[in-house]
Amino acid sequence: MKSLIWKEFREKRIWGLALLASVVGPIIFGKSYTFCPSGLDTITPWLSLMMIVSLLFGFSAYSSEISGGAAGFLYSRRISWKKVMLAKIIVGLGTIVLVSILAAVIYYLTCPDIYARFATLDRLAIGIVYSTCILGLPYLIGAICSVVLPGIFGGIIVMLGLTAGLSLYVYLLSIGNPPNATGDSIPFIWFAGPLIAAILTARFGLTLSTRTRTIRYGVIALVMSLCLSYLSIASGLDRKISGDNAREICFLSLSPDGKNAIVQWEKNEDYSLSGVYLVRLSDKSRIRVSGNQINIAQCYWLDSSHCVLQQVQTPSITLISFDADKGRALKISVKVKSVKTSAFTQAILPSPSRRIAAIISNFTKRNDSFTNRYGSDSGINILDAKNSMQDSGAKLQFFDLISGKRVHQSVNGARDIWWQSNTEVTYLDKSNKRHTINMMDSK
Amino acid sequence: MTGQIWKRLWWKEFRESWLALLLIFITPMLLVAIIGSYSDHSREADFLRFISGCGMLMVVAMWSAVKASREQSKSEYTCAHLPVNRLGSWFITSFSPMIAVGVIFFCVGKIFAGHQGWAYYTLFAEIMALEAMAIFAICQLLSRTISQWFSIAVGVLASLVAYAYVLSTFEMVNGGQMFRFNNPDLSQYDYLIISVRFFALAVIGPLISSFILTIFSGKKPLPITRIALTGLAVLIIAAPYAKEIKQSLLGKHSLYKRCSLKPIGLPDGSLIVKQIYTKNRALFGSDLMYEDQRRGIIITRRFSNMILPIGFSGRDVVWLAQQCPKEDNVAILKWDVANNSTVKVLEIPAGEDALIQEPYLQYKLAASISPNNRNILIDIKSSAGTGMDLWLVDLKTRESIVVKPNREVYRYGVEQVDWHGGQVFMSGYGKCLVVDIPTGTVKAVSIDWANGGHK
Repeated sequence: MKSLIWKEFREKRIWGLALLASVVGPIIFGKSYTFCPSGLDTITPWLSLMMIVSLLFGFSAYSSEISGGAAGFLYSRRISWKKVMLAKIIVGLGTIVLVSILAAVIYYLTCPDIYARFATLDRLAIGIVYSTCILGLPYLIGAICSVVLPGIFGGIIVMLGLTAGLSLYVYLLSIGNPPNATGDSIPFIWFAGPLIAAILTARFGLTLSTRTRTIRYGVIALVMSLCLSYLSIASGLDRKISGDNAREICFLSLSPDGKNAIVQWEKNEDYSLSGVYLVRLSDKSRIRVSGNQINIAQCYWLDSSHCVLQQVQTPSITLISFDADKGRALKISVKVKSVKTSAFTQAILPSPSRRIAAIISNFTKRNDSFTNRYGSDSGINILDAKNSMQDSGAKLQFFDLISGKRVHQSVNGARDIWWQSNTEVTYLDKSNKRHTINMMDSK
Repeated sequence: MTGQIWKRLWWKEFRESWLALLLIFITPMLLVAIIGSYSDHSREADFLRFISGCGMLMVVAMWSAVKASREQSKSEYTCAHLPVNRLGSWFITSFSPMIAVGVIFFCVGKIFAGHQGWAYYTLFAEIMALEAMAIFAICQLLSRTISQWFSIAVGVLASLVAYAYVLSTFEMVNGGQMFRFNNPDLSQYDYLIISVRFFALAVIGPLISSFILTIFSGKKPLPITRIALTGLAVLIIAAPYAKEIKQSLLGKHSLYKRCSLKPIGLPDGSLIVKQIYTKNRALFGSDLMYEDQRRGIIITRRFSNMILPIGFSGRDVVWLAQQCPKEDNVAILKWDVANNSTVKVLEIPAGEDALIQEPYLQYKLAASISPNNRNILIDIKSSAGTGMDLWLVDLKTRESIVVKPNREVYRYGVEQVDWHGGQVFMSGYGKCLVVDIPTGTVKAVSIDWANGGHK
């Protein structure tokens, strides 16, 4: 066994150096944080380089035996095929683990001061595990593909063939089914077939002719992949979990008292948006306040028990009021009349006290996505009013946001608008003449 | 070389090349006529355009590679047995056909682009001619220095890329949206000039290498010479873009440097700070306009480096982040609107392009000031990764720490930052996070409905 490991080591040490060079690259070029867990958020070109080197390393696992004609010699000795495989795994994965540890050490030594507090031992350890997985998976795929054709290019051809087969299979599965119906695990199951074929080939087929080996590998891989994926689909392993299970929260607006929040998330089942929920943060109890798949344009709180929600492309505003203690929700929908040409484009401009709001419709969305929405609590999405309103001017309607009642008659032809005080709104007309409306005046 | 020999060489070259030249001239002309019978956006028209554009470039690539390989293999015999010098032979067998290809593509391109009614169609024709010449020159060089088949492979790939490039440039110039070059500071004409410059370099680089190769070695050159000359060609093409290439490898894109800034303001519409475009501003600078509608105050101020508005303290103070001139730090500035002055409050260590925003990748930088004006939460481009570092700044103690390094930022719902007590909830800037201010720690917000969360 020692001799086998020594042989493998001598054959593969150049790959170890290549892997080390590809891993040290990110550190030298400032991508060192890749080796700590949160750094994996971002995939850099350097990370791709590491994976490619690792894949090529995997391709060399058995192909060197085949191309050099060494397989015949090796298996003529009194050596078990399991030991040969074990030696390859030990050297391959050992190299990867060693490179990951070295990278973590280099990172630790060169870590910039501002990140030093994140380079703790446990984070580095997790980083090594991540790094091992990132490099180990391509190695494994490469090794699976290396048992058929001689040389690294042979491995590449096998991998391309398997990928093409997978694409075809996924395509056939998708016929007549909704998008994403095939499931995320299909690629893994598909590659389980070649894994079995690779083990069988390593056991029985390395000394066969290339043609025979290729046919046997192909047949076993295909049959096993089809059987395994059929079994997984039939047994429901690949069935998606239905319901509003959260994958990732995409919107959260906290109430002023910090007890409740308006929350929306991406659903696990098909990555679509969930409904909008009022969530009590203390016990995570929730009440749905809208249907599925709505895109929130604006959301702000009037006080701790009243909230306003504006959907994108919808001519209505949802007013949510609830008993803050009990967490019960009550929805009041206010239909807003809009000019036909822009009936689905409107925005809310709340007064400083937030009790009254001007609903602006008939304004133009500009291509620049930074300026086409406004009005959230954080003050981030601000309408650049002068640039957004059409030449003909916008339509303004005024509502009490708690009662949902109209508080003043609507106005047309506004070019720019702002709240002068809690009850006074000022707008410029088409000729840039200022008008001020007092909400206390009669309708 | 006498005039007689020149003539013979020209005649020989003509006899060897006329068929290829005729093919690349006649085929697109015929196809242009046929394309007219289909609608512009039909599959048939797209296919024929592909054949007349990309297909002909591939023909040029293959012809050039085979031709160079053939010339290379018989160069020793030619120079030893015929009264021709190497430079003369190179001029006629390499340089002249390249010019001929360029002229043909210019004519075809001008007729084609004119027929399609494209804007700047002469410039388009020039770009197409330079593309064809570049592919010819590159294939010639690679065929001589590496191998004929490698040269053909590179040439075919380059043809596809060049064709895609021309199509996307056409899309952009003729009103479509194009991802890479959406830069508000450049006109459509500028884009085309940039293309001309690039393809001219792609002609000149291989041409110089090929010329040097001919001068120094009539025989089969040594591998080191071949590698060096291939490298020289690559260097000539890539040198002017060294910075962009470096930034691309590091995951940074200088083309986005001059992107528009998001405006900040109060929800009641009475106060807004926004970027305005002026022609004579600094290359990476911004002109910011403060507009207080309620008081009727409009103030404009010029900033010479990248700037990011953060928020307000009252109505008279605007907080800004600005890239420092040496691009080594980001300064937090306090813009006192009453006397239109700025004060640097503190500096945060950062690399270049720290405040870069890429609107066409659909993300924004988080930048928010706490309601008590004590803390600032700001995204700054990571100096050790391609993501963003989320910084928490204490304005009172003038200290700053990274609370979440190298995080992925993408637009994901409406951006929202809520300050509550000692915590900040942020959503819409990638993963939903909660920042604990006293400890400077960050947690991802998740609600596991299966365990705990219930209806």
